[in-house]
Amino acid sequence: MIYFLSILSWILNWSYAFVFFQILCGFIPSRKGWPLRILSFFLSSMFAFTIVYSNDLPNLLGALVGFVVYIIVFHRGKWTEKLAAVLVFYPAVIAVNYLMQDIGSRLFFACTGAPPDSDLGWTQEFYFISTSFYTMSLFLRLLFWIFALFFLRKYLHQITSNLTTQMWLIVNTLMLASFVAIFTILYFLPEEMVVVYPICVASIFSSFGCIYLAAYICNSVQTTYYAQELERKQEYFKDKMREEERVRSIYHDMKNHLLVLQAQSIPTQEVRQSIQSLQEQIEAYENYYHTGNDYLDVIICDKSRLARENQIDFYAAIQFDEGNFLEPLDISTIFGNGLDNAIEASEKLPESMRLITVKASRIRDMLIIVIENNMGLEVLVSEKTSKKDTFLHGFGISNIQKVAEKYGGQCIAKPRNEKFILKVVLPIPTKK
Amino acid sequence: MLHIAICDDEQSLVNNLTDLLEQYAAETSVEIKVTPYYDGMELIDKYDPTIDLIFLDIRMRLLNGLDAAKRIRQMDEKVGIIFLTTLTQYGLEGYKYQAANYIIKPMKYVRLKDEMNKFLAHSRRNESPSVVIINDTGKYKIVLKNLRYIETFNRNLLFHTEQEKIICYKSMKEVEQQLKEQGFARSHSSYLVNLFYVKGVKKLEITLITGEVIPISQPRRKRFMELLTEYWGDLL
Repeated sequence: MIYFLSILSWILNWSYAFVFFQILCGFIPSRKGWPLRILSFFLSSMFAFTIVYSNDLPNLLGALVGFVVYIIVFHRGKWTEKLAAVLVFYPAVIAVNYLMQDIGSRLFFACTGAPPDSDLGWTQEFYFISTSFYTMSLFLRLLFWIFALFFLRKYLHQITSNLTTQMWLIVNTLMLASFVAIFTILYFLPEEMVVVYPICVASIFSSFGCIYLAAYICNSVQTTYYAQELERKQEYFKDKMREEERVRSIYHDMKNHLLVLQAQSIPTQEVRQSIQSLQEQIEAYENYYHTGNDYLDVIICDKSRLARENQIDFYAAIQFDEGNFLEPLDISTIFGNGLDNAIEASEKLPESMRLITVKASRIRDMLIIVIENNMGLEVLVSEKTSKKDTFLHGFGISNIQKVAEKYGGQCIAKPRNEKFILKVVLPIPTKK
Repeated sequence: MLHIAICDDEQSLVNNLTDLLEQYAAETSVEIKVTPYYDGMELIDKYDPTIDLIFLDIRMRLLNGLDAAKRIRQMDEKVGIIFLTTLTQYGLEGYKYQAANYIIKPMKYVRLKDEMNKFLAHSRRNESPSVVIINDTGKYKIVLKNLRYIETFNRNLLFHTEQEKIICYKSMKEVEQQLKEQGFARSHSSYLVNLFYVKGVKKLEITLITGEVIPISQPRRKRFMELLTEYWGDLL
């Protein structure tokens, strides 16, 4: 029976180590490559298994140093992220392990009244009860971490991909409290103090609470920022549309005036020439894009002007009469963000390579949109590491994705050969 | 060798485009032969079927580009046509072009290169691939563009082609692996669909251009939509 229980505890122990490793990697990715990953799994499990007693400086400090070194060597990320990983996981693991160990042994001695050391003549029964207590506590610990994994998974990813350095520092400062609390109470408070328990529990929850808080802050900051940004853009395009209309009507009048002038009796050669050159200029003005959607016309016109100012060869073939089921805001999210990204990427290239192509059209019952731009090969490689401010990066694409999903469609953005290609498919709703 | 016709009544543009094509040929080591035409009628009257790609000016004196293209299409279904237009013309008449392939002239090399790359990639893809199936009743060669979808059928697979239904003893996984580069995507554990036939997508079903309705399973929807986007994005 004891044999069976110890096998069970072995399994529980390793599944716990596995779950812990999953959470840790969700928070801060481990370095790539299978051998490294396996090695880091075993090392992290060594830390996860650390058993701590009260006033146990070597273990407390040893685990800390070991964990810090391990995080630095085996995980990727900025130093602030690594610091955060230590500040979150160290108190949590130590507190959970301490609670498990300490409560377990207290209960055991209280229930059985066994002598404090196994050398002092433990019966078979004592061993059995001790092992079952141990197994039970392992089981509870596993449950706790599985729960933590499911609860935190969503937030873990969010914060690591979106937090800025300053935000990390704030989060780290907050987490310092639980870290110091655990370290000091376990070391300085005398043994046999049940008062330690609430503090342990509190610090476990406050370290996880910090993760949640960070995710929450960052999410809401992003959402507000994005809402403001959209409003600004909307306002801008509306302005443009009004202006466009005004200018268009003036030009229209002028064209008619010129026709009248031209028709008037025998103009001199000079007058004829100047009329002709004026007419040509007006024609050139009428190069606005006809996409079939007024709002999109303005966006394309605006972006194409921006592209031309940046010496980018810009080409748009858009048939968007069927796109009226999209809200203007969503049209500007897709085309505005897509083209902004494309223009930004093009600016990094030598002028002779700058190229943007936009195509959109209905194919059967689907609206297909493709935005392409050239990109250098070297940009492709260094893309991931060169971005300093991760907060807003990839923002555009993920919002296009959200819009596509809102209409039951899909969006793909990826580099191919020397180009970056954004493709969007939106099913056209059937009219009722 | 690639035979390219340039049809434009402006000598300077023909020269410019020829230079750019020569630059492209030198850079990519694709062999290119250029034949200039100065009018649409000339191109149609003595139509040369070895031509692979035509750069066709929209506004020409005798016959405009769009009409010329219609006549050419009747003689040669396969030839690639890229229209040439000026910014002004495009601004005035762009809505007539129906998203056809056109370039605004004068063009830069980077644009020409992009169009040529696309044309070459596209013409390579246009070969019609097929699969061979062997079952009790014989050996079948199925041209993939005639294959609408594949469905599981009593532990076997049923290939729905334009003409008939053919049983196949392979597993769905195997066939999916074989066809995934050919524009087929799994919408459901028992359906593999030719994306070319997709007419529209609803929440959990696909309509084919033949009117048939095929289910999508929730867990496969995202992946299916990604493949659909990838596929149609390339064809646009």
